[in-house]
Amino acid sequence: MAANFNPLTIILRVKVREALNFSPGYPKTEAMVLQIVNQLVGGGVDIQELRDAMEWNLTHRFIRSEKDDDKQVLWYITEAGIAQQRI
Amino acid sequence: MIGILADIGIAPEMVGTIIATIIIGLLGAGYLGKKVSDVQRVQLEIPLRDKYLTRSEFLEFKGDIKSDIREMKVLYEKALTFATDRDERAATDLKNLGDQLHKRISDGDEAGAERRRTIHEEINRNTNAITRIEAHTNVGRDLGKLGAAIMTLAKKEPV
Repeated sequence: MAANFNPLTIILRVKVREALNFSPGYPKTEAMVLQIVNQLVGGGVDIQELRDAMEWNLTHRFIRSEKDDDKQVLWYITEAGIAQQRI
Repeated sequence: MIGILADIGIAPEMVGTIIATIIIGLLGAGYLGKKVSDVQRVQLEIPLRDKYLTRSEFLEFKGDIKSDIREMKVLYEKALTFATDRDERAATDLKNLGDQLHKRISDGDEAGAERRRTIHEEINRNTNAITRIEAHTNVGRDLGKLGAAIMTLAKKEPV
């Protein structure tokens, strides 16, 4: 539970939603989210940390995902996620 | 003293000659130190001992040493080449092993993340479905109605 109080973890959770909130109707791949989050926080984000942040948002239904025809996972922000960003 | 010699009729020019003559006489008689013997010109000969190497033996020995050094250098080069090859092989094997481990860990992470994503999506779908069902039904109210009906029937026809 101590990891939940890591400021970087919390920042990444917010930045994941922020990244997906750019053009919310258009899905983004994990690589695109990583690239946007790196630009938002100044780089150096580990892929595992990003996955943890995305998983946290997914468990809280702030984001959702689906696979396209190429079996590529695409990520969307949900209405709950947009509302969370506006708080 | 020169004055005395002059009185007895000896010229001053002769004084040095007389003194030198006296010193040589004393030296010859051994009064002024040990008599120095004349060095004779004798050729010194040092006999060679049997256990010493001759020049030809020494050159042969020197040649053997040079040959041994060459062989040792060849052996050293072989050993160095072997050790270098072995080190390079070990480094390559270690790097390959590290790459394989890194790939396996990365694949495992990716597969784990994908499975967790699937599970979360399924949970979210079920949660949304339950929310939709709950919005259109009222299980408590329906259960209450059912209970009331049962009680009404039970009052009408006591068991």
